[in-house]
Amino acid sequence: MATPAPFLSARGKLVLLALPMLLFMLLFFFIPVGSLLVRAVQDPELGAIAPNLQRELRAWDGQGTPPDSVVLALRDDLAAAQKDRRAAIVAKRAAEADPKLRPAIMDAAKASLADPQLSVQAVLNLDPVWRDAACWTRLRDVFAPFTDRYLLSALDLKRDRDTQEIVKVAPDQAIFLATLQRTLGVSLAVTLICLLLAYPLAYVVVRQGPVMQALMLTFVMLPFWTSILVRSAAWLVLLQTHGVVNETLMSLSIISEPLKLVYSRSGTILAMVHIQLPFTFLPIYSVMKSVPDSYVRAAQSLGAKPFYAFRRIYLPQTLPGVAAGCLLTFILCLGYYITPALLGGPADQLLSYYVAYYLNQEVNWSMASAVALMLLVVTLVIYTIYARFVPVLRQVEG
Amino acid sequence: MTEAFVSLRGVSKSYDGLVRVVEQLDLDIRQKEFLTLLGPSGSGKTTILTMLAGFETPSSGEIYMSGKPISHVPPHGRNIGVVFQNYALFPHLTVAQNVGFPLEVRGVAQSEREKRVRDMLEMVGLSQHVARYPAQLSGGQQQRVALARALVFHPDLVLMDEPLGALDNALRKRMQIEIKALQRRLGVTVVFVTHDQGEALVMSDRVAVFDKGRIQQIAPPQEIYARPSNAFVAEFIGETSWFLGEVSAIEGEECVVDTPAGKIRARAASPLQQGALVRVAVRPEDINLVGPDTPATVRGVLEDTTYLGDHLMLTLRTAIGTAVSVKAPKPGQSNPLRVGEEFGLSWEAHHAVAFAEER
Amino acid sequence: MLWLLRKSDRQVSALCGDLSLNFMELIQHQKGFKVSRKLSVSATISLSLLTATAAVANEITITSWGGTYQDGQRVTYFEPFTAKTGTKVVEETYSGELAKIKAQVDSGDVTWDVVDVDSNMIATGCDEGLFETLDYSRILDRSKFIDGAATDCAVGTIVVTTVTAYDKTVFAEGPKTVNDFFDLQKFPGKRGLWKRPYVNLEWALIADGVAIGDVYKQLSTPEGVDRAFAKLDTIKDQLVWWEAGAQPAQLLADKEVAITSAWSGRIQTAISKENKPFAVVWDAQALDFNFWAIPRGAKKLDDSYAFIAFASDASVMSKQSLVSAYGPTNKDALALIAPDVVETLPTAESHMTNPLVYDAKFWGQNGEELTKRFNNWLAK
Repeated sequence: MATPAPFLSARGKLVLLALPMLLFMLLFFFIPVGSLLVRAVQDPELGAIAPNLQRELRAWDGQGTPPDSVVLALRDDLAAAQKDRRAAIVAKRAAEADPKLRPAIMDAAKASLADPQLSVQAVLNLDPVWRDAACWTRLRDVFAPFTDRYLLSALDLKRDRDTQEIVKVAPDQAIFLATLQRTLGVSLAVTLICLLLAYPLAYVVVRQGPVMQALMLTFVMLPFWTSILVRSAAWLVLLQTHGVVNETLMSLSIISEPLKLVYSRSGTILAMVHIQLPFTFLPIYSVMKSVPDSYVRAAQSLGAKPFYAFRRIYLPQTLPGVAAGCLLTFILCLGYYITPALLGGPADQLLSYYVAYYLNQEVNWSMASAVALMLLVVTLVIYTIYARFVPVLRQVEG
Repeated sequence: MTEAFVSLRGVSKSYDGLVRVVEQLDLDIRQKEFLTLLGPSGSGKTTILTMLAGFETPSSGEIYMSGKPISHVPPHGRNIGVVFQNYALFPHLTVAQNVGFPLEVRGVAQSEREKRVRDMLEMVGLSQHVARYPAQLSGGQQQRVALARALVFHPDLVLMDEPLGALDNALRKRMQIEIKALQRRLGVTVVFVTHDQGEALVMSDRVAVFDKGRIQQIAPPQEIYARPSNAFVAEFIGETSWFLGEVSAIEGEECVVDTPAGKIRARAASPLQQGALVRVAVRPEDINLVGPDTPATVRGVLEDTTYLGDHLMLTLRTAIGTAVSVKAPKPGQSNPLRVGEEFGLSWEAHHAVAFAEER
Repeated sequence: MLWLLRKSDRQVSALCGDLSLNFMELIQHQKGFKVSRKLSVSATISLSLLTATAAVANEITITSWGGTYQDGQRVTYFEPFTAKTGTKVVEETYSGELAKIKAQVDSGDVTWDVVDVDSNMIATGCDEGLFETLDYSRILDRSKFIDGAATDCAVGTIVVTTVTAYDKTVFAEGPKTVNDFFDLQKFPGKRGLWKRPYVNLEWALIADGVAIGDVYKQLSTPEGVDRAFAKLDTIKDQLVWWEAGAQPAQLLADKEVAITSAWSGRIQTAISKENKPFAVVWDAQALDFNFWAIPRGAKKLDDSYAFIAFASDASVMSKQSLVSAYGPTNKDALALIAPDVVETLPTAESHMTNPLVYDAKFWGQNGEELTKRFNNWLAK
């Protein structure tokens, strides 16, 4: 007798079970992140505002003066855009390629709206820019389907206006690489301090009785439950020039001048460590909980002194927790910007600040995407290194 | 008598200051012997092991090794090998690294270390698996690695804490023999902790039976089995049937006990007074089954038979309700034993032992 | 194996955490926004089912900056408006994220009917087509507003100014001008400034001798920018940078700084409500506005206009000054406010001797470049 074929294979059932999660990831992770990546190299807005102009400009080969059809498309699209008050978007984007284009486009938009039947010659006479073939070529580049402008800009680079070669931006405009470096530096410092604090702490907590352990865990988790504002206020009270810490140290004659604990790099790091400590602590703690005492006992009975037993036997077995905790902390640190802004010094702006800046202040989402993409790439590189490093430890629990 | 290699003198251990897990213990461990600490869980045997290993210090008393006190020597200074219940193999090290660890700690040169690890692994039959990680080995293989690791550095003493508990029956039997053989071959002193009396009897030179933190009896296996010094040992080791009664007469080493099932002659485990309340223990294999009409010590009705391959275990019940276990050879085809039939039970007087009972 | 699962789980959450922090904004603005809207819609539906007897009462959604500022608006504008017209006001809160408005306008799914915006947002957002072009015949004659308050896209609701303020217990004879802010000899001590280029560069030029009317002309030239940064350099090591509007008063109170730039309303609140010994220097105060604006494509234009017209009325507006020390934008309102209150407002005649009229348009066009340079300068 043949067994009836199951309705779903075992594999099919597994896929079905994972489907909600996959859909969730697709909708809320891959699609947004994907659109983010696209934004960094493509500005969908220009094509939407001036579709005819884009089509005509791309049809033109970019040599010499443009044909009349391009000029007429410029007139009609700008008139329509101006009606919606959106011609300025075109002007602003074009200004990134050539600042002269901004007033020229705004003037053309206003003139075209006033007189929709403006002749080609009349448009060209509006501004010397329109009689300059090089400016039209630059405008054509602005409407290119894809652009590396934002990505280059995120790397403090740009294309030279005339030669199109990639060159560095002016030193006083070069901000992102230095900020990235600072972001990595601060994240690394926070991660290391968190590790130095969390590892011994986890070691102690694991060795407590259940009641004490629950109590200590509560204290570690406390930062999770307080709002950022309450925490900031508390830090200020503690750390400011005439705050609790400085006053105490001075009254004990440990220091003679107040320490600059806030509005400085140390303030940033201190606050970030406070928030991040649980993220470093918990993975280490959970791994330590799974390492029985008998290993260290065995090592000692086999002749290892306590420190040697710790280094050779205990530490390697807790490394997966250390790696996970540090990775988590480091990557979360890359995303900070409110804490450094509130408690940090003048030189403590981190990269995410610029993501928010371009998103909200400049409303330049392509630039925001390019900066965010830079952060994402760094994150993935670090994650790859982590993934390479960790399989070495995989045998630990088979 | 040979000088004791390890001695415990008046050792007590209490974790909370109230309950003593080990109580005023005196114990001598001889050079090259295989000593088993046997007892139910909570009897203090594992605590003694942890004190020997140095993970715990005695609350009072002292442990001597080769005449020197070692209570305050840390574990790594004792040169004692330990095989843990769960083996405690280092999961991030290979088999060879695990076994080499005690040599690495002692600064043994690389080439020498490799040779000794190879020899040791060959001895336990694991030469093929040097590069594997513990998680890739079977339970029996892990057990051998743990054994090799505890032996490779020529320890003065090897402690084993229920090392065979996780193995299946067949493998456990084989490992019992292998460990015993290895111990003889290497001439190493072993203190072995188990709650399995069979294991203790098979492997040991001497067995120390523990209960409530005290040694109840310490003797070679045969003597423990044949001449238990108290009711606990008799009960704990092997199977025993019990008869409660009063001593009515004393004849040298033997006494006569009046029980509701009848008069029983027994050897007294300790000097007894006439009229003392005693319990008489008889082993199943010492009891002979006779026909209902033949004279016998007590009589009983067959209640149950359990087939055990090479023999039968019978349960009979006396008139007053005492259950008696009897080991019987496989019956021939001609005279099958029927449940409900009455039998006489008899044994030689020196096979019955009478233990004084508190009144 | 469990260990591996646990580990990979951790890795995923690590990655998600990172992305949530870095890109949540984008995700929120692009996708999540609709979700939250649907939620609020369903909440509204269930609420309206509960209050079915109230029939189809009009309601508009007004978004402002939250905190005590919005509390004041509720008393001054929202509740009286509902009382007068029967139109309910649904309040929302944001922190000036233009991205949130852009997300609504781009998707055509506009749920905010009126938004309280600042001038930088207007400078950018008006050009980007994020706001409706206003029809002043439906509000109030443009001439009724003080200069700069009535723009094409937004109507000023309050005058906010950036001033300098100091602690009277530190300086018996306090600073009088912006020049004094830069004078470390006469007024030693730490100074607080907003961690943005806005107003700071303007003041630096004024302190360096540029006439107030020429400040933006100067700032439009590379030489002018260099000059502004050079002036800031002279006090750089004495500067403490603040980020949030509540910080300056706190910095003064904690004696972290002796003088600080601040938004005038915040300092006035500290003086009048918390009795702090602070004083305001009105010299070269940077005049700016907060506005009412209608996101482009908002669905209830009639109600939106009705609200803005109501809020621009002189007698309604005059009550705002009782709640917080911001100046009214309707010229007629000042006359309706008690003289002692007027003295605390930026628009009091005595304070308006030489104001710097903040040019949001300038910053809209040059903000990115100057912000980069400013942050570079900060980091050095």
